[in-house]
Amino acid sequence: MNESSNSPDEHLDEHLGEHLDEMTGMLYVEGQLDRQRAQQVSAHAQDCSSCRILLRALERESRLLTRSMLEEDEPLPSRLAAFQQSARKSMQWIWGAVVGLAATGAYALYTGYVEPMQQRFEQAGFGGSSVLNLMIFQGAFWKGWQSMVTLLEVLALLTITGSAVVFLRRRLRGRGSVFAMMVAGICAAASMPSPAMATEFRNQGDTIEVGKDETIKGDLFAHGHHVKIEGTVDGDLYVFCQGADIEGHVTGDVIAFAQMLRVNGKVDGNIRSFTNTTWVSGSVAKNLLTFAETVNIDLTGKVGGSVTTFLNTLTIDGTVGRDILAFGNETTIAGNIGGGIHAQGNTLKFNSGAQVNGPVKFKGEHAPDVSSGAKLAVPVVFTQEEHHKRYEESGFYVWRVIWTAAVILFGLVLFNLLPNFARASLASAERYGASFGLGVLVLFGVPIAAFIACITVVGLVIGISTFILWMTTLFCAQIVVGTIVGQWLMGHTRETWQLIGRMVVGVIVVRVLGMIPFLGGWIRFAVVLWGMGAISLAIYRHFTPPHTATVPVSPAMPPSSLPPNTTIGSPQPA
Amino acid sequence: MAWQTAGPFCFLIDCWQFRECLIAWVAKDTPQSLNVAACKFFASAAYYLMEALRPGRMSSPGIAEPTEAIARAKAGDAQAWGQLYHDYAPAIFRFCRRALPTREDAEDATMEVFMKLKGKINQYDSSRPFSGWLYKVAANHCWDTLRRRRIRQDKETEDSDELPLEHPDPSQLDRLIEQRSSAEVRKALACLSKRARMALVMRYYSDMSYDEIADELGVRRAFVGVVLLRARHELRNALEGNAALAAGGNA
Repeated sequence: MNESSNSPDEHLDEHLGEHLDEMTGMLYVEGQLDRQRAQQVSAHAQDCSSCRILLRALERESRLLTRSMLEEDEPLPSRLAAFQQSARKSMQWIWGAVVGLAATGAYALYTGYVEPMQQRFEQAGFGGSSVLNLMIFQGAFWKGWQSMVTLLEVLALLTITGSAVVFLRRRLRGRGSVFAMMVAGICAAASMPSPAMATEFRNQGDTIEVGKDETIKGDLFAHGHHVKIEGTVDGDLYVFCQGADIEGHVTGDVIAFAQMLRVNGKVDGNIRSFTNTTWVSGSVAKNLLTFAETVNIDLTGKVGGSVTTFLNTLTIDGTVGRDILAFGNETTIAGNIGGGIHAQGNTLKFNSGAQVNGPVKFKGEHAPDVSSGAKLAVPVVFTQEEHHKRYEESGFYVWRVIWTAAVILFGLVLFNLLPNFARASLASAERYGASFGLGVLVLFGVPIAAFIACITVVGLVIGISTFILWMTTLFCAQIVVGTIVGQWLMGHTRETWQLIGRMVVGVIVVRVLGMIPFLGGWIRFAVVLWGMGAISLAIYRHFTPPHTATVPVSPAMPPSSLPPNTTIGSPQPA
Repeated sequence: MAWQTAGPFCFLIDCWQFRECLIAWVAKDTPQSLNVAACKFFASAAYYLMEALRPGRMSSPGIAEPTEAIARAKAGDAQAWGQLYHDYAPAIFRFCRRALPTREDAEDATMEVFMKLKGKINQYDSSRPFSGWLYKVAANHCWDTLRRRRIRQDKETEDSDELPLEHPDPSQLDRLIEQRSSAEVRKALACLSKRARMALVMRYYSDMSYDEIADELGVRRAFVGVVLLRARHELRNALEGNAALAAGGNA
């Protein structure tokens, strides 16, 4: 730096005899010279017209600079005005309250639903551990769960990372890197080791039979129209079929997705079934868990452990070693129950010959019908289900408020994480016809597709992910519709915070409308259809950019021809 | 500043003309001139009223030192923060807009400056002007932002330090300054190296002292004059270049 050669003192001494140099002139105009030197300059300028012009020009330059910088050539950006509004209205306490309410909601959800559920499962003889623990670590459903969970954890981590990347996108500068990270993550997830299965697969068309003398060592996956097991499966049995008959012996668990499951033989482990009808006339050493339309345990049928059912009709004529937990429409007991019964539903009937050794709790519409011949250790504890009571409870409204706050908080996070996607969803929602149409398709079609994907074991990950996504969309639907309603009421806006304000108002309105008796249900249904359709439409549009996106970008091509959403890493023809 | 003090005088002249025309109208003279004068009067009245109220320049007499708001803000009152933001954000935004290359940068910087202020408000010494302190924080932030972006301008700055300062012909300089509009100057400012631009903004927008500028830029006080003069030269070159470009475009 040639600082010293330009120092003002030197210039002044050198040049004061002749003309003023520019540096001295500027320092004089700026009032930076000391008194004595300033006087010298002033005296010189009085005699020298050239220096006077220089001083005047420098002074004018200063003024020109100040003037041009001070001029309000552009208004305060609305983004800053919005920031100002949010600062002025001191919204912090409101958001604090919302966060608090949401936390309370989460806690309530846990204590109100998850914990009792766990307790019931424990009562039902699922061991002392939690359901999650049981399902995941003890391999109740499938031994591959543990690997699956690791995979799910990885996916969750990826999702969080993805969100963080989206959030930091502006700082990363360039969508290419984001896309690359996502792809790398997905590849890493896909290359995770798949669960070890020393298994036999059978997929032989119409009927699969395991003959009487046949013994299968290890697990058996059977997939066909009809599955008949007459021999022995020394391991677990997985069946995906229309009808399944187990006449032989299964030493492990039976997991069945079937229209009709008939157990005449012997199962040493548990039965978990997702069926229309489950018929047990043989013996099951451990527990029975079913999601079904009808479950029958015959006179000859015997379940060593507990029975847990989610169904329409449950009839037990045989023997159950431990507790029964039944969520269903009609429950009829005529057999011998070693433990207690916890039932919820429309009716509970004890026929003569029924014997229950434990306590019986029933919550339902009608009082339980106990035949005189039935032997109950303790009288039935009955709770009448009351339909309209919930509106009268003050707690009901408190929880409504808490849930609304939770939805709003979720919406706030979404709008901040994915502002462009939120806007795209809103834009889609304004195409009413397309939204509702797609909403119907997605609401009913996606779960079915996810279920089918789950049945083919390879697609389990995809199926479960799709299902989770579907659930999220279901939840987000009210946020999208709420924002649209808010915009109807308060007018359109492009600012994120104003949009969030409209979202808050709209969500409250939508939720209040949803509370109207009878009509409310239909409103909620319409909201779900509309919102889901809008979100799906936005997702669809996001993944199908205009054609130019797939054309290789040549250097000669002006950058403006690329659509704004083009991802640099988008698939290009090789 | 002369142009600021000239304003009220112009307004007085407008008032006088309006009065003259009013008298003439009462004396049944031409109503046409009254309309013109009335328009002028109301327009300038509105303009100066707005001028007095607007928070564009914080040192303008329209805004008193916000002692009370600052005290409340220090105590964590959100509404006081809102008030301070409302009063000072436009000025800070304009400061950032002049110092930083893009509008988005300026928007981000404005918000970040106010975020920083929240953390630093307890360091503010109430005996000194608030606006000066505010500009210091803003300058600090903008200069940090610019420095963090290691772009080719670093090289240019180094180069311009080596060039000797040439002495212009005074009358030619005078003509150049006279011919240029504010908009042209703003356009030229955008072409300057980051240090030159920062120095000019600190000096001529926020009226910071040479000591403060030296402090922010991390140079010796004696060197601030050099930085400013070089910045003026860069600006003149840019103005001439733009003018040449415009002339070429028109031809």
